[in-house]
Amino acid sequence: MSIWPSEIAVEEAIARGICSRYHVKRGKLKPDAYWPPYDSDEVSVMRVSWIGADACKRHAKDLEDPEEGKIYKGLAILSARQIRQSGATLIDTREVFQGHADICHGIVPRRGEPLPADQLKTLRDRAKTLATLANYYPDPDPAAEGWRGPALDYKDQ
Amino acid sequence: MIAENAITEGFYKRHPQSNSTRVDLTPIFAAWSDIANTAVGQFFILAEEVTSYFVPVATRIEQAKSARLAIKELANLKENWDGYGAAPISEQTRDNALRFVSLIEAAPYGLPAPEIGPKPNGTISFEWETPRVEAYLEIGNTRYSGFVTTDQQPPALFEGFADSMDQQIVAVVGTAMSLASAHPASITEIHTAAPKHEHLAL
Repeated sequence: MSIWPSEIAVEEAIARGICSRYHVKRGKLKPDAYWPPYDSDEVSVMRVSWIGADACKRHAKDLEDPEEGKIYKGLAILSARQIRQSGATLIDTREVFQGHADICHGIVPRRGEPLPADQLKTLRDRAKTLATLANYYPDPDPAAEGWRGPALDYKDQ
Repeated sequence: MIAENAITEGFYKRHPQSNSTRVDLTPIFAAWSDIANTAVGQFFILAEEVTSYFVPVATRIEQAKSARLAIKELANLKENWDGYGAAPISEQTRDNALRFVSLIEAAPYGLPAPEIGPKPNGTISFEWETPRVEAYLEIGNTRYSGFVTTDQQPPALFEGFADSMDQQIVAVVGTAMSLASAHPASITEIHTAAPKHEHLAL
């Protein structure tokens, strides 16, 4: 039985594993890093404050598939407050794994088709805000088992 | 809400409950210049500030070549290319995006090179951004959707069927980018001293 609260506190650090070269440009995070997949409004993230940097890296590396061009690059950190202030909701989804959470945009893209223009703009603006606010930490030693970079923290508001 | 592909009063309408303007890109426009001079011209009231830019033919051809290569590369992405369940780019979406590149290439003034990328839902995005202007277009299997924003006007939204994409969209983006180019300090790549009118020999 987990003792972690399901409610995510506003000061919690929330990590997004970055595994696509299309999510980073010249060392900066792109809005696409916070774009949901099709048929879902959810963006998978992790509760760093509870599971720690090593576990976040381990889960992010699980997404890797070098043969398919999916290469783990690093972790992007936001606070729960920043996420909520952007207009998204943030929920604990520990049924996926301990420490997993979802940013819920409330907008669901369809496979193979763009969103209606008004929703597209709303989602784009929000994803852009999150990418701008996020503290992106390129992993200095991606091959290492644990996190060898600086302490993961969000930008001060 | 404006019905798609319907001719509406004037060329744009303000959403009753939002701060945006939806540009109706229907075949109402006979020529690209009509659009640039009327529809978007009305939207961007700062007409006196708008100066045209021009992308030389050689640059345009190179930009189009790079864009086509980028799109073909995106079309090779496999299912789950981002590790989070992203959809691959379909042949239909690829072809629609390639057609849009041809529209840019053939436009009388051209456009600055867009940033082209894949979206997790299997569409392709085209982005133009300056400190004052953002233009964004997403193309899918059967539809396109996008918007233009400036620092002084409410956003203009546009959408429709992909097979109806034509010079109107290029003109909308082009006019917005002209607004950016009216302030030389905010642009880096699209001002030239070349003549304003030049057509591609295709």
